[in-house]
This record gives sequence, C-alpha cells and structure tokens, in this order.
Amino acid sequence: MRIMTMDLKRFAALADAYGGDLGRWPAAERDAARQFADLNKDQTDRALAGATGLDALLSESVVPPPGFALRERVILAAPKTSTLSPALRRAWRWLVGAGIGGVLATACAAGLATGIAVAPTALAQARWINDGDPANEAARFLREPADLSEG
Amino acid sequence: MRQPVADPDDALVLMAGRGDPRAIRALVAAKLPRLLALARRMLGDSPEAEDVAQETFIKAWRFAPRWRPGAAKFDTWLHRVALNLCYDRLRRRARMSAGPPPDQVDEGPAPDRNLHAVDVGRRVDGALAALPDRQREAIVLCHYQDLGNIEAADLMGVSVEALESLLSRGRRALRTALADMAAGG
Repeated sequence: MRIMTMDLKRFAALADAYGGDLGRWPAAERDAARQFADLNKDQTDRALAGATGLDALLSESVVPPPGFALRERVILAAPKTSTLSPALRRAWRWLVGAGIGGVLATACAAGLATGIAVAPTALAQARWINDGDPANEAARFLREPADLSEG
Repeated sequence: MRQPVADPDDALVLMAGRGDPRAIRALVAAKLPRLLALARRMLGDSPEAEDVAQETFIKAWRFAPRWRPGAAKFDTWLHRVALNLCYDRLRRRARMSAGPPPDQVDEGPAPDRNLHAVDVGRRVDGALAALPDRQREAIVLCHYQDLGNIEAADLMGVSVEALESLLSRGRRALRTALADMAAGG
C-alpha cells in the first residue's frame, strides 16, 4: 500500500472516505493524521465537520438483534457433541462400517450354510413324492388347461 | 508468502467443529448479530437477511471440523461467505426485475429509540439501499462492520485506493441524499 504525505488534501480525502473518527482511519496513517490535526486545528476541524455529521446520521441506522427463533435454528444446525478426537472419530466410523459389513457377511454365510444343509433332504423328499405317485402328476398335467380356462 | 493470521476465534471454531455446545453458543452470540446486520444492510430486506445469516452458519458448521488455524480469520471468512450469498440474491433480484429494491420492512422502534431516531434511521436505510452495490458494500464493511481498510479491500477484491474511491463516492451520495437532515441537525 502506498503511504502518502500527510497534508490538508490527504487529510480531507481520508475524512471523505473514512469519516470524522480518526480511530477508523487506516492504521498506517492515523498517527500522522493526528499530528497534522494538532498542528492545523482550524483547517482540519472544518474538514472533519461534514464527515462527523454524516457519521452521526449513519449511526441512526440500527438493525434489530437476531430473534430467538433464528438463533435456535442456527444452533440446531450446528455439529452434534462428540468427545472423540478427529482421529478417534475416523477410527470409530471405520469400526462401525466394518461391523455392519461383518454382520451382513455372517448373515450371507449362515444363509448359504442353511441352504447347503437343507437342500439334499428337500430334494430327496420332492423326488420321493414325484416318484411315488406318477399318476397324480399325469392327472395334474392333464387338468391344468381346464384350470386355466376357469380362471 | 502470507504470514499466519492470528485469530481470537480459532479455538472456538475448533471446539464448535467437535460439537461443543458452549463454543457453538459463544460463536452464535458473537457472530450472528454481525452477519445479520451485514446482510440486512446489503439486501435491505429482513427475511432475506435472516436466510443469508442462517445459510452462512450452515456453511460454517460444515467447515468448522476442517478449520485450519492461521490460514484466515474466521470473521473474514464468514463475511466472505455472507457477501457471496448476498450477491447471489442481488443478482437474482436484478434478473427478475429492474425495479427498485424491496420496501424497507418496518420492524417498529426498539424500546430505547424515540420516533425521530427511527425516522432518521429509515431515511438512512433508504439512502443506503439506493447506493450502487459496491459503494454500499464498502460503506457497510468499513463503517458498520468496523473492518480495517486492508481487510475490507481484500474482501472486496480491490486495492485500498479503489476502496477509498468507493467510500468517498458512497459517502458523498449519502450526504446529498440526506442533506436536509444534516442541515436540520
């Protein structure tokens, strides 16, 4: 940033831009402006007068504070409590994921094992029924078109 | 190379990111009024300003667990997010209508403000709303949000000299618009 020599022109330009309160002026030029104002009181007072008047008007614009409902909506949207460090949280998420995966894998394995154990007996029973009563099978086959037409 | 930024909010942001309810409440108490005022003055509309303030915080909460101290000031980051959201809405408004900004919502006087002050306040709000967006932004950041010139220029993506020019033109326009009030005291 360019630091400019403090003279009345620069002083007036700063008042024009930042207002009449030297505390709001750029930090880099504040001290020089104060010294200049001490030495040239009449001229700087005139430069500050208009700026101070506008500052007073601007301060009449007041925004009401946020209401309870907005505050609570914002707070409710915040992250939920966790006493774990980020690393522990990552490890916890991994464990939960692994746990769910493990449960699913166990369920699949159990289903497969049950199928393998039960299938031979069921097949044997089905064969026994079919083998034992071929007349029933033939009768059912012959009946089917009639059954369909009834539906 | 940029120097690391010392930020008094760093610890609170990190705690809020872990869901610490006291840190969350402290951040909301400190920042929500500032963001609401920024959005209210930029948009001149209370419900929209509330939406912007809320959206800004939702983004902040999402970002807080990944906050890196020293990279930027949290307050500046919040201002940047809120200003982007304000400009999204201003652009949408400009696309939808070339008309004047929405009427100022009358929220009634605060208990400690007399009617004259409320009337002056409304006139000032109207004059601010009538400024070009960039001039209004410069005045809102420097005068109302109390940001330094370097921080405000950085937020606006302009040089300090350009910021000064926007401030001067904006304040001159306000002086003209409010000349009758200044003369009357």
